[in-house]
Amino acid sequence: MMAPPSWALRFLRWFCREDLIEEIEGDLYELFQDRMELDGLHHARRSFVWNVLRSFRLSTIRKINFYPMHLKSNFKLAGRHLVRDGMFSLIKIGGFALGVAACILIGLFVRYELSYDQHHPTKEEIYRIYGRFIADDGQVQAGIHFPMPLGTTIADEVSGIDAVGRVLRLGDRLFRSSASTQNIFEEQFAYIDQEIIDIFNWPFKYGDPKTALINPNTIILSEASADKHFPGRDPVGQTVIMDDREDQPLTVTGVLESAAGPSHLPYRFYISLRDQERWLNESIDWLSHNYFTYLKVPSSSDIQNVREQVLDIFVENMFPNWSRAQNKSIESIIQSTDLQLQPVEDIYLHSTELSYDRMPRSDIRVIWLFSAIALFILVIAIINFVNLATAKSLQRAREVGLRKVLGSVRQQLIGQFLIESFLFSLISVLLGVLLAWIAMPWFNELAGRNLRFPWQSWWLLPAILGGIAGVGLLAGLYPAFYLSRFKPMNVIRGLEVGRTKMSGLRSMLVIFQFMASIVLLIATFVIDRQMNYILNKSIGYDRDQIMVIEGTQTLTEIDPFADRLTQLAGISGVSVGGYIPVTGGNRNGNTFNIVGHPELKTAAQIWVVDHAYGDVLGLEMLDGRYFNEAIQGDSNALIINESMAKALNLDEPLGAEITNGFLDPWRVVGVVKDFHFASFEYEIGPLCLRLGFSNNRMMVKLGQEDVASMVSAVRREWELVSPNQSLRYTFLDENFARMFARVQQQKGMVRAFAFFAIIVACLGLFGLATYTTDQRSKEIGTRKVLGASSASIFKLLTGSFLRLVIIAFIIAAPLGWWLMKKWLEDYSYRIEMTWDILLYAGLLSILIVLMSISYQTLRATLEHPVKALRQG
Amino acid sequence: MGREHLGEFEELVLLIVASRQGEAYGVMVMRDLADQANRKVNISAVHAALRRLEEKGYVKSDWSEASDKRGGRRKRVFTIRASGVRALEKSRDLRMQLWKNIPGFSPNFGWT
Repeated sequence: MMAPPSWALRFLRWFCREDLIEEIEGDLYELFQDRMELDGLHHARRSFVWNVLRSFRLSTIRKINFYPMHLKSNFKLAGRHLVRDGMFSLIKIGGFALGVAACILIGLFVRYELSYDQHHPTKEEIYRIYGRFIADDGQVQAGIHFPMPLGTTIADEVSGIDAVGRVLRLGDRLFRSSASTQNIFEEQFAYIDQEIIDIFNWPFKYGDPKTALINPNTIILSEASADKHFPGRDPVGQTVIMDDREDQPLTVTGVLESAAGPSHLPYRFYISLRDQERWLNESIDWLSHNYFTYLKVPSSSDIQNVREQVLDIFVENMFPNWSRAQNKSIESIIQSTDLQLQPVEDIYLHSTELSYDRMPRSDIRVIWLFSAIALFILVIAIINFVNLATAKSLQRAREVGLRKVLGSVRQQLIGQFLIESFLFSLISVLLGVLLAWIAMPWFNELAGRNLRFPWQSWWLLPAILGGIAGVGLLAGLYPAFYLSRFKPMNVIRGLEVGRTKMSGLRSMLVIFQFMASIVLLIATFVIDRQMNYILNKSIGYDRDQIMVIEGTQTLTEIDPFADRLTQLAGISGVSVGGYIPVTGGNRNGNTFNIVGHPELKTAAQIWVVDHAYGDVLGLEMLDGRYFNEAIQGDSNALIINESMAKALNLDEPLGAEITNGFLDPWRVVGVVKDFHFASFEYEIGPLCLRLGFSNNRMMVKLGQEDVASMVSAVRREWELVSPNQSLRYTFLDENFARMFARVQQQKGMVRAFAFFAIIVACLGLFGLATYTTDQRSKEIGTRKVLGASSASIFKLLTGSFLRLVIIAFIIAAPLGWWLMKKWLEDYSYRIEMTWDILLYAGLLSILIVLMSISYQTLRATLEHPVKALRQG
Repeated sequence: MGREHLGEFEELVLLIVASRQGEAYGVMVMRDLADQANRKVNISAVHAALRRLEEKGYVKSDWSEASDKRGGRRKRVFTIRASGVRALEKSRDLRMQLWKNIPGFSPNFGWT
C-alpha cells in the first residue's frame, strides 16, 4: 500500500476549508511521494501525518456558518414564539424556574454539608480514635470517649505520629471577665491540650498559637465570644471567671480567627488541660471514659501500624478492666473490638453509629437522599420542556415546512430551535436563581442551617452560565432534531407527522415524571406517619408544663429555694437533680449484676434522683413503691424499670439485691413502667434510680393555667437568691422536641421538595392537557354533533392521562415501598408499612392529575361543537 | 504600515515566487527556501505565507494541470503581480537608504 494514511487524509478533509483542500492535499501528496523514494514508506507516512497536523491552523479550518443576521432573527423569532404561546411559555418557564430553584437550594445545602472539616490545612493527616464494639447479638456500639491517660500514653509509646491531643466537653457554663460582676450564660466550653491547636492548625487573631495553652488556667476564645466579652480590643492577658470561681481565674492567651469552614468541633471556649484533674488521679484513671483523642499522623507513616500500636495500649490498660466488668476473656474482647482511626473528613457524615456525642453531625445517606430528590426535580422539569416542545410539533411543523420550502437548511432550523431553548433556559435559570435567593431564609429555617447565597463566590457566574447552557442543550437537543426533520412536502400536503411515535415517547416521559412524584409522595406519607407516631406515642411520663431550671449548681442553698418554690401558688412539685429524661440530661452508665449471681448482669443507666422526682414526672409504678421520706434506709433502695427487670431475668424483682461491683448493693423496692429517656431512635434501655444529690438542674411542675405568671414568680424568687446570674430555663417538652429536630428537619425538607416536584410535574401535565384538547377539538366537536354525551367525552379525554398515571403507580409502588422500608430500619420504634399508604399515594396522585387536567378537559367538553368545527 | 507591510519571511517567499516566473507552488517554494536560503520550514508555513501574500494582493494564483505525482490533484501556481513587484522594490530601496546612512561603509549591491 503506497498511500498516505487514510485517516489523516480524512481528518484533513474534515477540518480543512473547501477552497484549500486540493492545494494542500496535492502538496502533501507530492511530498509524500518524494519522501517515499528517499526514506521509504514508513517515514513518508509519518511525515505525512505530521504535515497534516501542522496544517491544522486557524486560517485553514472551516468557518462555522454563523451569520449574525440569522442570530438576530433567531432571537426575534424565539421571542415571538415565547410571547405568542403565553400560557405555554409561562408553564415552561415557571416549571423550569421552580426546578432550578429547588436544585440550587439543595445543591447549596449538600455543598455545605460536604464542606465540614475540609478547611484544615493538614486534614488528611488528622484522625480521631473511634471504637466499635460488637455485642454478642451483633449490635454495634460505637464510642469516641476514652480515658484521660490514653492520650498521654499514646504520646509516650506510639511511634510514627506527629502529635496527639485530647478534648473534654464541658458543656455550658457561666462566664464573665474579671472586670465585670454579671455572670453570663455561655455555651460550648471544652478542655483541650495545646496539641489540639497544633493538630488542627487553627489560625489565631491574637496570641501565639504555639504556646497558647501550654500553661494551666489559660483559655482561648472564638472570635465571636471574644467580640462579645471584650468588644473591639485584644483580650490577651485579661482574666476571666468561669462558674463564679473567683479563686481560680483563667488568663486569656489567644483568640481564634473565625474558621474558613464548618467543623465538627463546635466549641467557643477552650481551656488548657495542662495540670487539670477533675478529681484526684484522673490522669492515671483508666476506668472512666470521657475524652476525645485526636492524632496527627504524617502521610509518611503507616496508618495501620499506628492503629495496632494504639490497640496494644487498649489491650494492656483497658481490656483487663472491661474483661472483669463484662466477665469475658480478654481474647473475646479483642475479637469484638474494632478500633479505628477515623479520618477527620469522615467525622461529620460518617459517625451515625455513635449514640451520645452531642457534636453536630449529619448522615451521608441524607446527603444522597437530597441529591437524588434534586436530580428528580431537575429531570421532571426538563421532561416538561421536551414534552411541551414536541407537543407543539404539529403547529411548528407548518412553520418548518414553509421555511424549508423557502430555502432554510436543516442546520439553520436546528439552530433556531436550540436558540429558542437557550432563551427559555436563560430566563428560567435567572428566575430560578432569584427564587432560590428569595427562598433562602425559608429554606434555612426548614433545614436548620445558616446558608447564604454565594453571590461573592467566583464560581457562581460560571456555574449559572454552565447551568443555562447545559439545561438549554439538554432540553433543546431532542426537540430541535425532531422538529427540524419534517419533510416539507408531507407537512404542506397536510400529512400527519410522526404523531404516533412521538406521543409514545411523550407518554413514557410522563410516566417517568409521575413515577418519581409518586415515590416522593409515598416517602412523604411514611416519614410523616413515623414522626407522628414518635411524637404522640405515650412516652411513659407526664411531660406537660414541666419547667427545667438550668445551672442551679451555683445556688448555695438549693433545698430551701426548692421549698420556697413549692409553696408558690400553682406549683405542684419541685425536683432537684440533673438526670432529666431527655437528651442533654446527666447520664451515668454502669454494669450491674444480682448479688451472688455474676452471670445475671446487664449494662444500665443509674440516675441519682430525689424524693419528688417520681411525682413531678408522674412516673407510673408497676410494682412496689417509690422512695418515701418517711422510711428509713431508703438510701440503699433502688427502683428499676421494666427493661432492667427483664434484662436481669427477675420474675420477683422486689427485694432483689443488685450491685455494680464497687458500691454497696441496693435493694429493689419498686419497678417503674418503662419511659423514654432518649431519642426514639433508640430502644428504652435498662435504667435504675437511686436517692442522692445532684444539683445542676431543677424540674418545676407548673399548673395548667397561666404559665407566664408562674414563670415570673419563679424568676422573682430566683433573683432573690442569685442576683449575679439570670434565670435560665427550658420546658421539658421543648427538650423533648429538640431530640427530634433533626428528623423533623428531614421530614420538612422531604415534604417541601416532594411538593415542589409534584407542582412541576403538574404544570407540565396541565400544559400537555391544554395542548391535546386543542388538538382534538375538531374530533370532540364531531363526536358531540354525532350525539356523544359530555360525560363520555370527559371520560375519553381524562382516560388517556389516567392510564399513564396508573402505569406510573404500578412502577412506583414497589420502588417506594422498598425504599421506605430501608429508611424505617434505622428506627428501633417504627410504624409498620401498610398497604393503605400506597392506596393514599395512588389516590392522591390521581386526584392531583385530575385537578391539573380537568380545567382543560371540561372546557373542551363544554364548548359548543360548532365553534370548534368552524375553525380553520 | 498596515496592509502594506511585508514580513521578512513573506519577502523571501515573494522573491522566490518572482524568480520562478509562473511556476511557483507550495512544494517548490519550500524546496527553494531550503536550498537557496537555507531555511527549513514546514509546508504549512509556506501555505500560510502564500495565502497572506494573495490576500494582500501581491500574488495571484491559477490552477495548473493535474499530475499523477500529486495523486490527481492540481497545482495552485502563484505569479507575482505588479503590486508585489512594487512592494519588493520599496523594501529594497528602504534597505539601500539605511545602508547608505551607515558612515564609512559603502556597499555595492549591484542592483539594477
